[in-house]
This record gives sequence, C-alpha cells and structure tokens, in this order.
Amino acid sequence: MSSLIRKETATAVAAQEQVGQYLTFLVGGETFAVSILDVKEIIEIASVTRVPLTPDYIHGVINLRGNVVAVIDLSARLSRSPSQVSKRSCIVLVAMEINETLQLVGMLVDEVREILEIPAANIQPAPDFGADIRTDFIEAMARIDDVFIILLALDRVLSLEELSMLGELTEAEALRSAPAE
Amino acid sequence: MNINDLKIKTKILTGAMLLVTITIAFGVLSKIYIGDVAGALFNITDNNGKSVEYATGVERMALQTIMAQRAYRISQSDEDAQKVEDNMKTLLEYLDKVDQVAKKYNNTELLGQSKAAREGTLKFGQKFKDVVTAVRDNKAAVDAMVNEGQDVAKAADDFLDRQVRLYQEAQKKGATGQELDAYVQRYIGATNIYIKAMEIMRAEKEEVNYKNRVAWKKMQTLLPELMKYYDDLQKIVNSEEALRLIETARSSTRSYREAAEKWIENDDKLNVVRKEMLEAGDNVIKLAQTAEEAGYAQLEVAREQADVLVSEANKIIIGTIVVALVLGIIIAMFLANLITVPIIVGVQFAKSLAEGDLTAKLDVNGKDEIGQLAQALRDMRDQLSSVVSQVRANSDTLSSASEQVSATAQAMSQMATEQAASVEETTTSIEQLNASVQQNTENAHVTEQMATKSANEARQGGDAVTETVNAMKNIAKKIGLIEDIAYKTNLLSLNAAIEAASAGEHGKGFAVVAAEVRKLAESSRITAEEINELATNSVAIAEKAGNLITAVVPNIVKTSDLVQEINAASVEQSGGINQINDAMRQLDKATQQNAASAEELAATAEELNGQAAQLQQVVAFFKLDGNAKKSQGAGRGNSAGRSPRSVAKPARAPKPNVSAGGAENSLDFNEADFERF
Repeated sequence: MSSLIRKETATAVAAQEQVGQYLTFLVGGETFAVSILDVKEIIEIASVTRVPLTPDYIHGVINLRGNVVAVIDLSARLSRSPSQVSKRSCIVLVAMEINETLQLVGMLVDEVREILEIPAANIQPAPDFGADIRTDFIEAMARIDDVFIILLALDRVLSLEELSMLGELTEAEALRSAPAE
Repeated sequence: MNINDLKIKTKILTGAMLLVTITIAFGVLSKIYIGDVAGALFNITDNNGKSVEYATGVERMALQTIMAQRAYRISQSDEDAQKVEDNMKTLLEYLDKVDQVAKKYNNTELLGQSKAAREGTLKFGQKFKDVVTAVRDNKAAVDAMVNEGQDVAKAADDFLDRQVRLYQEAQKKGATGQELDAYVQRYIGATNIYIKAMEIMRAEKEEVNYKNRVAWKKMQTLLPELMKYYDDLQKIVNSEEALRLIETARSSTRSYREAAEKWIENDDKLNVVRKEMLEAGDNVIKLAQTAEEAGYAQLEVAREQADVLVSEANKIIIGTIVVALVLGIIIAMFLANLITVPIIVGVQFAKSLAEGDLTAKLDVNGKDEIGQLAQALRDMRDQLSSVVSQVRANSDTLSSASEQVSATAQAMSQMATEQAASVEETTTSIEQLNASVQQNTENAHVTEQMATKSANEARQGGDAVTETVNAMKNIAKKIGLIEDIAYKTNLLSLNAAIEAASAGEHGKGFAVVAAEVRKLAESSRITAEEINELATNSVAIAEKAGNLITAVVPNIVKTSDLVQEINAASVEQSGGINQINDAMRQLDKATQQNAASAEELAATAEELNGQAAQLQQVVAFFKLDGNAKKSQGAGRGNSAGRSPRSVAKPARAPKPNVSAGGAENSLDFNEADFERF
C-alpha cells in the first residue's frame, strides 16, 4: 500500500517536471532532508512521556489531539549522541504504514530549516562510502549550490522490526493509558 | 610776783576756789541749823506724836474692851470672855509703851496719868472676873432649879399614871361606885398638883428671861399653894405607896424652892458687881482721853518751837547768799579784766594782718597764755612775710614757664592734627582693599557652588549611563523574544507548506502564501538578529561612557574641594582685613583724641599763664617792710634755682614725647599694617 502511494507520488513528481519539495532539518549539526509528502505536520516539542525498557532512540510518547504518537530521537537513531532538547527542537510527524495500518510517528530533530524545491536532476544516489551514518539510511544525496544534503530513507530509518516493536509499544501504551482516559 | 605772770588757768582756779570756800562755809552753817530743825521735828514725832498715838491706842482698846464685855453679857460665852481678856492685855501693852516714851523724855505728868490708867484697868479686870464667876454660878443655879422643877413635874405625872392604872384595875374587879369615885377624887387632886407645878415652871422661865422679879413674886405665892395641894391629896390617899410618892414630890418641891432662892440671890449679887465693873471701865476711858488731850497740847508747843528755829535758819541762809553773790561778782570782774584786755590788743593785731599789713606791731608781753599767743602771732607775721616774698618770686618764674608750655602745646596740637589726617587716609585705603577682598570672597563662593553642582551633575550622568546600559540589555532580551516569534512563524509557514503540498495542485496558491510568510518570518528573524547585535554594541559603548564619566567625577569633586578651600581662605582674609580696619579706626580715634588733648594742653597752658598773672596780683595785696624784702631776695635766689627747672622739665619733656614718639608710633603701626597686608 505504502509502495503504491509512493509510486503515485513519484509519478506526480515526475509530472511536475521532476521537481520535488523537501523539508530540511538539522540533527547533530548536520542537515538532512525528507520529502515533504511524507511529512504530516511539524509541532513544537511538548511534554514527552518517557517509556521504560525501550532503546535509546525511542524518545517517548506524546499526546497528539488525543492519539498516542511515538517519538524517535533521530540523533540517537543515526548513531550519534542523544539529542539535547532545546528551544528550537521540533517533532516532525510522518505517516508510516506499519502492519498494514497507517500510523503517525514523530521524529525529534534539533531544528527545522526550510522547504526546498530540488529538481530531480540534482538528486544523486547514495554513495557506498564516505558517510558517517549507515548507508542504508540514505535514500539519496541532493545537491544544492554545491552542498550535498542527505535525503533520509524513512522506511529504513524506521525499520520494520523496530517499528513492529514500536507498534507493540504503542498498543501497550494505548492499553495502559486507556483506563486512565 | 606779778599777778599778770600767773597763768590764766591759775587765775580762774583761784577765783573759783574763793567762791567754793564761801559756798562751803554757807553749807556748814545751813547744816547746823537744819540739824536743829531736824531735832525739833524728831522731838515732835518721837516724843509727843508717839505719846498721843499710844494714848489714842489706850482709849481705843478701853472702848473695845467695854464693847467686848457687853457682847459677853449678852452671849455669856467663854469665847467673848477671852476676847475681853485679850483686849485688856493689848491695852496694858499700850500703857507700857506710853511708860517707855514718858521715861525716855522724863515726862512725869504722862507717867502719873499712865499709872492711874493702869490701876483703873486692873480694877476693871478684877471686876470683870467677878462678873464672869457670878454669871457662871447663876447659870449653875438655873440648871439646878430646872432639874428640881422637872423632878416635881415627874412626881406628879407618876402619881397620875398610877391613879389611872388603879382605877382601871378596880373597874375590872368590879369595884363599887364609891371606891371608883375615890379614885376619881385622887386623880383630880393629882391633876391640880400637875397644873400648879406647870404654872410655877412657866413663872420660873419668865423670871430667867426677864429678871425683873415680877415672876419671882408670883412663884413665891404659887409654891405654898402647891404644898397645900400635897396636903389635900394626902388626906384622900390610903395606900402607902401613894404616900411615899407624895413625900418625894414634896421634898423635890422644897429643894426646887431652895435652888430658886439661891439663883435669885446670886443674880442680885451679879447686878451689883456689873455696875462696879462698868464704872471702872468708864474711869479708864476718861483717863485715856485725858492723856490724849495732854499729848495734843504738847504737840502744839513743839510745833511753835520748830517754827521759831526755821525762821532763824532762813535769815542766816539769805544773808550768806547775798555775801557770796557780791564776793563772786567782784572776783569775776577782776579776772575778766585781767584776761580780756591783752586779747583785745591781740585781736587788733590779727585784724591788721588780715588786711595784708605785715608791718603791724604787737606790744603784749607776759608769761601767761595770752603772752605766748602774742609771741606766736608775731612769729606768724614774720613767716608769712617771708612766704609772701617767695611766692612773689615764684609766680614771676611760673608766668614765663607757662608761656613756653603754651607755645609747645600749640606745636604739638598741629602735629597731632596732621597725623590724624594721614591715619584717616590709610583707613580709607584699607576700606577699599576690604571691598575688593569681599568681592573675591563672593566670587569664590559662587565658583564653589558651581563646582559642587557640576560634581552632582556628573554623578547623575554616570547614573543615567548605567540606566541606559540596563535598558539596552532589556531591549536585547525583548529582541530574543521577537526571534522566537519569527521562528514560530517559520514553523507555521512550514506546516502550511506541508498542508499545501499534501493538497497537491489545489494547494499551489496556498503554498505561495506559505512561502511568502516563511520569507517574512525569515527577514524578521534576520532583522531581529541585527537589532540584537546593534543593542549589544550600544551596551558596550554606554558602559564605556559610564566608565569615562565615573573617572571624571573624582576630578570634579576635587576641583570643588579646592574651590571651597579658596573660599575659606578668602573668608579668613576678609576677617583679617576687618580686624585691620577696626584697629585703624581705633588708631584714628586715638589720634583724634591726641589732637584734642594737645589742644586742651595748649588751652591749659594759656590758663596757667593767666593764673600766674592772677597770683602775682593776689600776692601784691601784702605790704612788706625793708627787712622782709631783704629776706625775700635771699629766698628768691634759692627758689629761682629750683622752681623754674621743676616747672620747665615736665613742660618740655612731654613735648618731644608727644610730637616725635607719638608720630613714630603711629607710623610704625601703619607700616607694619601695610606690610602685613
């Protein structure tokens, strides 16, 4: 299903003379970008509930208009030190298809920058080396004014098994918080 | 020895002694006569006066004795009898005194009278004693008689009681009428006896009270009647007891009669004795009166003798006074002449001296005080003439000296005036100086105020800069907020772009708006950052300005302090100038006074000159003879050597002192002042 949507978007992008819109943000001093079509919303950091017995990159869960949304610390996930929450820290909400259901997942970033329109010609495949993060996390490299920005592969960054675990976690959390609500 | 050689004291003393001798002689004479008069007076008071007094006492006592005796006859108490005795004793004492006086002055007549009075008194005393005895007997007799009378009455009473008792007994026994009648008969007889006895006793009481023998005659008839009643009763009495009772009554009646007779006899005797006693008393009074009259006669004789003596003494005393008066006047006249004549001559001499005639002569010689006075006056005249001649010489020199003094004083006065003018000029300059110093002081004061104000303002500037820094910092903080807002706006624009993207083709316009908003937010953020930078720079600049101002403030404060010191110094300077000013004023005053004094001195010198001329005129009043002029010339030589020097020295000496010394002093003072200034 997800792939279907992706294909549709890809075609749409192609229809728009190969120009895609990307959201750029900073994590650990480095600029990353994701397609704007994957992004649902950007919110300021709110009160995050920590969840016990979870890996470091699981920052916690937040209450988004009554729904429980898991937040992933992107810095930790990209094998860097856990991010320091600052005034400019934001949560970028993305929609992911997990276990056949569309689910919102939050990514904790240090700062959002801007929305860039990058022509497809400027997008190049990820190199096999020369990056300090797992290469499978890199979707592609976009060149903007001679500077390369990593386009994150969200489906790998938020990998299947990890996300399934995440789904259990959200379920358990929903169950746990249901009686409270 | 001449009488004029005696001293005045001796003369007066001699005259006074003469007068004293005459007075003493007169006193002695008077004393003798007063002794005689006193003797006569003593004779009157001691002999005749006393004999009269004692005779009067005898008479008074005799009268008192007789009055006491009368009182006794009425009261018949022992107390009154004692009084009579006492009076007689006093009378005899008076007689003793009369005897003493009579014996002292050998008055045989009085002695005889006294003796007769004594005999009469003693006789009266004897008679009075008899009367007292008789009165006592009489009283006893009356008492006895009354007792007997009571016995008689009691006997009759007893008999009556008995008859009543017997009659009642017989009645009870139931006696016959005849027997009862016999009892009644007896009772009646006894009653008669009782009544008679009562009558007798009443008569007896009357006789005792009146003593005129009327009641006694009645008693003499009543007593035999009572006896007859006894006999009558005896005839009808049969019992022995009744007979015995009657007999007792009878004997009582008899003894009563005896007692009564005895009392009557006694009373008659008392009357005789009393008459004799009264005669003796009258006799004594008569004798006393005779003695008294004799005494008064004697008094009269003594007074006539004393009168003669007093008139004789009066004649002698008057004669003596006349003699003493005449002698005294003669002596006083003599002495007065002796003393006054030379004094009058002396007075004439003194008068001529007073008129200025020193050539007068005095011819009184003698060794008494007046002679000495004359000698002293002559000495005085000589001394006076020498003194006058000296005074003449001295007044001449004094006149010339005073002229010199006058000239000098005038020169001095002129100089003092000049000095005063220069001092005044100096004072004016100092006052000007003072004014400029005052202005300096005021300027310094204003400057000081300005400096203080500047210091305060600099401090306030520093504070303002600090406040500016703070404000800048606040602005920077606020700009941070604006940056946040810009960031949030950016977020919102991003979200809007996302929404627009998700809307696909329809969201294209929206995406453009979102992009615009995002650009706006971006430019806001950049502007805010720029402002922030500017603010930060401004803070640095303001802090630098603050530091600079803070560094300036101490300098300004120091300047202010220095200006204050200048101000204080100016004030002190002003005070000093004021003091100098005062000193100058005083100096000015002193100089003026100096000038005034110099003028006064000149005037005084003028006056002195005039006085010297007057003195010369005054001395010319005295007339001098040739001898005196010679001595005057000699005296002048001496005094001319001395006096001008003594006059000129004090006159000349002060002149340089005043002109040179005074001026130098003032100049010194001025120069010193200027130098100091």
